[in-house]
Amino acid sequence: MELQISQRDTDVLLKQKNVLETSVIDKYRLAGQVTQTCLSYLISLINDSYHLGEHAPYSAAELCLLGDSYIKSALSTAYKNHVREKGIAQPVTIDVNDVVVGYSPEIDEEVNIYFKPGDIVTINVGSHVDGYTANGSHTIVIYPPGVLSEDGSKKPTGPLLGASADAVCAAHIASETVIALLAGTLTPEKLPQSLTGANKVVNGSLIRSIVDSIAESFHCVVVPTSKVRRIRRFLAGQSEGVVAERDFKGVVWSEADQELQLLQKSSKFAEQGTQLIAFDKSKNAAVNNSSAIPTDDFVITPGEVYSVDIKMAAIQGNEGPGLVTLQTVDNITGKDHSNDTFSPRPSIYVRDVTVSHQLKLKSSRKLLNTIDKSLSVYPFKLSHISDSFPIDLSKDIKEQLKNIQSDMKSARLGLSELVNRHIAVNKPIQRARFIPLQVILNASTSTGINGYDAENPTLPGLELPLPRLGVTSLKLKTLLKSSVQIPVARELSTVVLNTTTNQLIRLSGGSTTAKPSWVHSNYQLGGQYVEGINELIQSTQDERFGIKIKECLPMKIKFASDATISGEIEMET
Amino acid sequence: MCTANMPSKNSVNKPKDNLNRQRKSKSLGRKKVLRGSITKTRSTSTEPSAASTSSAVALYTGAVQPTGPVTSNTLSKKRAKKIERNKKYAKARKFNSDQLLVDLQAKEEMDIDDDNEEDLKEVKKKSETFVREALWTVIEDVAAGSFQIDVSGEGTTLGGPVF
Repeated sequence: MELQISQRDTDVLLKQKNVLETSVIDKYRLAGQVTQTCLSYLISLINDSYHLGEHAPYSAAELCLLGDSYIKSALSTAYKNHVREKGIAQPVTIDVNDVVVGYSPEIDEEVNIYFKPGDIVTINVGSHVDGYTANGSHTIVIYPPGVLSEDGSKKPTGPLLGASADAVCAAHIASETVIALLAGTLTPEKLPQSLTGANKVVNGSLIRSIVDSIAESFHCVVVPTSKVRRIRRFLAGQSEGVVAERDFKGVVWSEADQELQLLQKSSKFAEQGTQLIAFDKSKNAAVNNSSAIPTDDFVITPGEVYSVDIKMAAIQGNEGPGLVTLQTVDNITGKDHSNDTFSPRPSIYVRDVTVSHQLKLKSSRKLLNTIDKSLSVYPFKLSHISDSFPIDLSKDIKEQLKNIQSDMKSARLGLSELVNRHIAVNKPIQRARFIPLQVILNASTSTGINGYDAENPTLPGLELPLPRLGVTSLKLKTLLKSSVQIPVARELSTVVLNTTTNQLIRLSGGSTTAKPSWVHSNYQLGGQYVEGINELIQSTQDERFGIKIKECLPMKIKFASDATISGEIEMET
Repeated sequence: MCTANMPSKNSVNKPKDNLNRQRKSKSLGRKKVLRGSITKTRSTSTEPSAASTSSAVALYTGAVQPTGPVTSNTLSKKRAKKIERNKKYAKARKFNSDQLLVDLQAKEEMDIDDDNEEDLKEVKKKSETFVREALWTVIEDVAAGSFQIDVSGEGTTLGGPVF
């Protein structure tokens, strides 16, 4: 189905509103500040409870609710009566170890997790003001409780080692490099020639090969769904796979790229012609507009906003070559009686605005009404709909939690009809899996080249995970039972390429808010781009003549750290 | 609404249909204008309402492809049925007259299609077996240890001893 919008409105919405004027940059900056503040708030909560021992450990559900509440209330007074929509662009998700995306338990969820020392935990947050979005993710390490040092402060006993550390290193270095590269497009003369060549142009394939080389030197694989993409007003990739976006611009990593990399390693690859491995992305794509299919064939232009989303999975310790892919987990598939299977209920939904349907249940009609009225095109959780949301930490917390739970109960009834009718689509919880190559090669491909997995939304053109081998996503799904889990680190930053000051504004992440945890990897940067990357990073540190990057800093707020919800929940159960 | 030269309400000759139609179209028009003014609030420009100048953009999902130009005119069920029926008749007529010719042509085309398809399938199969073989060599090479990258240098440390 296509939405109909007049040409004039298209120009206004897609072009004029995305010109980086002062007012637009202010909105981006405010969204960035809120995101940064939420990120540092959640990190401080984890530090206080897990490392410094000042509070009982927070569970994932509590962190999610506190983070969401913060963003909602922080933006409630901003631009009052000036913008129609503002708020949460990405409900807080807390992804532990091999979970890549989407784990955000509600407060009444059965499967609720606490962290263990040695876990790597990715915190994802996002806010928007008038559709100008700042999403951010950062991976931190959970250490054993800190020990008292000489100066009286508590410190970690040592750095994290092993596969998780490799992933954290690779993700951090790759995302910093890409951001420096993007900043360099504002002042192309300062880009190192060893990276871009003489023409000083940063394009999609350059970004891909640099990130791939960083991943390889740390024995990592860029996890499918990682991407460096342009975002626009209200188009921050929140409904990828649900609604196709015209004029998509960005590098997207998928299983097909890993397939090509493996092929290039093969000794037989050189002797045979490369035309055999070429394939047409648009052939299997379910869209008729080719600009919705991502390609690397684009050039970064100043005056745009990019989201740099790098997820790295460490494959150290796994025998032989293999493929890193994603597995969707939910509360139904593969559920058994053992308590240690991870089967969380999906909790994040996004409204598919192209679908309308006459609903039967009164509660679902009511819910849809609320969603359309109070929520935007961004993903939401059921708790956001409750009247007691956002939580006010100065009032009776137990009462508020009870209200949220009872509001969710009736909303859940309505939600099932919305989901069945595809009016609301749930965002999957996915975790990274490593499948040995032998398993894939030994499997017969009987599902046919045209079968694709309707449950797992992908960007158009990427429906077929292994196009050269002819393995469909459905087939790949069946091979997951002989796969192993691998840790994933993720760094996501939103950056504005501001042409008026020739500076890159980093809306989320950066050394102040998202400084890397203490990790040590046995590997170091290698490959053909080492010199260029070093030169580039040095250039960003040179304040006078180098590449200019500015960071959005978190607001200076004293959080009421004693007013927390942990104790209340324990009392209830 | 009635002017002096129009027949009165109780007149035998009253142009009832005309009056009703006029009243109805007037109220519809009023509603239309109202709707136009609502959509207009989105942008500040003084151009005519956006509703009349709609064109399709590619915000869309799924495998359904629009089969032709998009229109806002609706087709009544009756008319749709009639069109279908007439199409069927026309097809039958044409079939009777051209049957021989069509049969001949179709047979030829089918032969060509078959050949093409088989060729394509063969190429595809060939490339797939090549890919498969190439990937097997990757596994064999690793087993022989040719891909071992030894760890040299001191590695990488990020961050520092603070929470």
